[in-house]
Amino acid sequence: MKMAAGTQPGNSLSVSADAGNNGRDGDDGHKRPGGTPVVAVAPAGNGSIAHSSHKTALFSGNEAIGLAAWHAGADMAVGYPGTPSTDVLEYIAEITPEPDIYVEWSTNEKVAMDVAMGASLAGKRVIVTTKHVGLNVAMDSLMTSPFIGVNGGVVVFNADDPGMHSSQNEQDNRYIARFAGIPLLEPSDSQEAYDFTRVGFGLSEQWDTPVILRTTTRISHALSKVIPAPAEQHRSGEFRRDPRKYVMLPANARPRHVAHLERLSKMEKWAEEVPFNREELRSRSIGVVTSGVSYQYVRDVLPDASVFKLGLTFPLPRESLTSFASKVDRLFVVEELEPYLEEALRLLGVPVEGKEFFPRYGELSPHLVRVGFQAAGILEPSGETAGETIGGVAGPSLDSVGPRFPLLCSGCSHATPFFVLRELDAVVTGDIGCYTLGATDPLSAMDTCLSMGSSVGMAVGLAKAGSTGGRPVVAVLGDSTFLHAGIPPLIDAVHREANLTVIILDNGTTAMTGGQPNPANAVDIRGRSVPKVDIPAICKAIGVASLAVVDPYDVGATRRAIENAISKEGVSVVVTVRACAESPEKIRGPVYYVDVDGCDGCQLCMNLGCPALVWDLSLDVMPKRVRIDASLCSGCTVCAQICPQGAIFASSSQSVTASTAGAGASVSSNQGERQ
Amino acid sequence: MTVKTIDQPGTLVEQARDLKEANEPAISQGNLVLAGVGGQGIIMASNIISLACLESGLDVKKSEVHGMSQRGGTVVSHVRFGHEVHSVMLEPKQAEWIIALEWEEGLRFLEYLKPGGVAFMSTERRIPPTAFADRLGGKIDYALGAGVPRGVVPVDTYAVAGEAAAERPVIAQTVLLGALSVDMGLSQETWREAIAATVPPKAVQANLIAFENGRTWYERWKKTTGSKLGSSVKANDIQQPEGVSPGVSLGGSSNGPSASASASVKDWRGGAPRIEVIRDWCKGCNICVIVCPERVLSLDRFDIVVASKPDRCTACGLCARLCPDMAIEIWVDTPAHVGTGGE
Repeated sequence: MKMAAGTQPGNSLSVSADAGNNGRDGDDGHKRPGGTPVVAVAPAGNGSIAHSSHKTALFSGNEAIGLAAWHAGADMAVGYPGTPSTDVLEYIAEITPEPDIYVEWSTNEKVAMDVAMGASLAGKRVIVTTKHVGLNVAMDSLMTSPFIGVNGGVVVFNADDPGMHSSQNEQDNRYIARFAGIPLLEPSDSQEAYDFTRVGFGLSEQWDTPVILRTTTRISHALSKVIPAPAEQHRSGEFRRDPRKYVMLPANARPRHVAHLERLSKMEKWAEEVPFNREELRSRSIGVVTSGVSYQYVRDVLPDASVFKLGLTFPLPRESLTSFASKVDRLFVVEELEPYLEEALRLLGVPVEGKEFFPRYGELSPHLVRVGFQAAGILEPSGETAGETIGGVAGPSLDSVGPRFPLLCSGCSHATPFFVLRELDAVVTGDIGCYTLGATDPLSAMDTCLSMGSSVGMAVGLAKAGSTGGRPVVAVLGDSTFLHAGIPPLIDAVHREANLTVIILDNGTTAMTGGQPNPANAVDIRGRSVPKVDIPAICKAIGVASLAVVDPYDVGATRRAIENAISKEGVSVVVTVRACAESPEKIRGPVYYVDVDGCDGCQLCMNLGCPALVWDLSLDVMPKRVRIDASLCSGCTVCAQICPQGAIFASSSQSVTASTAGAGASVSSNQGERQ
Repeated sequence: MTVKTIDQPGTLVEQARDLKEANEPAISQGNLVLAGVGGQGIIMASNIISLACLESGLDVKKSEVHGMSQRGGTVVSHVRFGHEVHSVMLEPKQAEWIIALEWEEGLRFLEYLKPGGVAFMSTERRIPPTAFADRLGGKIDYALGAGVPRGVVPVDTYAVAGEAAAERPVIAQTVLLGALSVDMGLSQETWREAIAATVPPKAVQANLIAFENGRTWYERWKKTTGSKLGSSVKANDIQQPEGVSPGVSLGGSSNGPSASASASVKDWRGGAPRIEVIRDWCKGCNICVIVCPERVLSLDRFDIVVASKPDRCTACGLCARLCPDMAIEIWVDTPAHVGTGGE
């Protein structure tokens, strides 16, 4: 029962209180050999589940990974936020007492990887968390990390996002593991996420290399049961000089490359025996090689098929796979995204079918797996016809259900700069964050979005190309993104005398991923006070001549600042400073309303894209009058400032100063009402 | 967000009772889809269901997508429970139940409903701003129609919640869970504990009331309306039990337009508004170009304003009224013109 206290997710009080002793002493009914590979076999049958129901809990894959890192005695957890990987660090910070694990939102993923390697050489176990595109940023260090090796175990947790729920691409990072020659673990549920993380640290130390733990959105954000294992003590160790191994001069790196290749060949033999790969023989007519969440889909759709379930997808157990292939009549690979396993099987000379039936893009689903096996002639077509009415009888058809896209929140401090840019008809290079939504209707004020920090570099290219038809070039990026990867291109811009404007939207948080602190904040992930990086001072130090700091809730001042910056030769920077309306605290001021008699239906305010501004459907007039949804209004005052009719008022007695019916830019703001 | 098990000291008797119950859950397997708009509490509702199942001794898996969906987009969660669950994701026509906190999101995922299944759908409507893009025609890109497909139980969650609805953000979901609990089984106590363990502490009492109200409402609905319903249900056919607000009322939320609103919009003109610029009077001050909400106007190479995108004009008349030289007039094909600098 002691373990129960230490494994209560979210019950931070009991965890904090007991973690020093009970959570770590491992005296618990679920005996598992600590640090040795554990195959994820949940106790079978209903009885044992009931027996353990007060010790077991539902965990998301990410929570299971965070819990496992703690239980594995990790001393450090570092990363950069990115859906769907973000909640691992947040969960560790939530459940662990502060001295137990050092948790850090690093400036970017490469910094995180380097911090991890440093701590590892000092003998500590470290988990690094990134999303798939985040690992690209860490690649420089990741590629050479197996040459240096580890002292304390390093688990690089990487969450891929097939289907691009919240990403700019859907690259398949299994290739990165193969490219770098780093062992790759792929869990297929939360229990395996827990077990593989625990095992990963040991493997990392055993093979003297970081280990990549890869999930996908449906593993990271799906909840299933986890039975935790006894916790381990922190690892003792210290840094010892070993320049031949740690200093990658060419003379040192050459023998390390040879050692790396020798290790790879040993790992390939070891891969044949690891318990995370298993052959499940059922009907011999069909065999399926699969891993991760696809395994679960295959088990649902083809419960009688034989399955080779891979938990270690690099290096691959070639002999075992060949042997499995020989046992079945027809061999399929079911995998999301690239034909990674399929290509490997083809190289072995094994006849295999896969991507001709299962898509190479997007995420799989049980339905797509079923459709694939129907196309392959394994399953009977279900006989459903297209265009069926929903719910079985006539009703609203799905065609009449409109799309619902993500939007900037009501009160979003990013709306005004885009509103201004839309009017100024600038060429706007965008970046990664909430503000990418500035590209969508009705703001429609963003022309590019490539990767973290690329807004500034692309703006340099556009400005230097000089063929924008006289339109000004403006780069827009957020505070966290600027610090992550926006500084080097700004240096480039200043040094190369590019003629462009950079707008840094400083909302005091990393909002898109749920509001994580970044180096421009005065607190860290555990809420401690930390030194704050001064963004305008960085710009000044780089040599930006024209620098303005403005409150984006002041529409007029924002417009003047941006117009002025654009008119300047060379690099100009405008920093818009206003806290995110949703995070870390929900900010709500007096609700605003539209005076029906004053509104003439010009709908200028609706160009802000604020979710609180809707049509008043109680009035049978055209053009439609605007109504403010009081339940959504944050009281930011921006719509009241820009209303040409001055028809928007605060619900409290005092009215906004938006009385001048004219260019909205001339109206002063009313920040005082902000709570 | 984690679903927590209930492990309070001093409740061993309760635990023992729960475990006894757990050996005979009323239902042994099932699938649910929960849908709504980001921020409505879909994830919390699915956590409550998952926890109730787990506490009843069932294996549970749950999947959802967050990230960009939180920004007012669609949020959907799949919950599967049974003795052994593999995939977290459902296939179409597999869900015994659908819980929708927003009407159109319910319609969107109705394809997941199994024939004979029940979809508990809140009549709350959240029309996305993008649905208001047709500023000329006034067409709303949103399923406002009042037809209720088979298997759907429309619930005016705030009306059913009654006085508990004062705490809106975390109430609608427990009303629907109350209704669901009638059909899904599991012990009442399990449901209540799952709610208490999941919602914010200060909202527990209100949510328990909302749960109870939802449960009572649906039991009465089944006895009265439900039993009368034939194969084809229309909104108007649904009679509400006395003393309970009509579940199908479309005005339940603050954002609830009447179903007929879009249909009754009058055809206000034959064609697009006509923009007339008196070129001799225009001095190219650019004011109208800046203020036009739809960016219809621009300056030509002679610095005289022209309507470069006339099809976007909504005839608001702003340019005409703000022109210092009264150089713009806007005409629509109705007896009176909308605005002119001369007025």
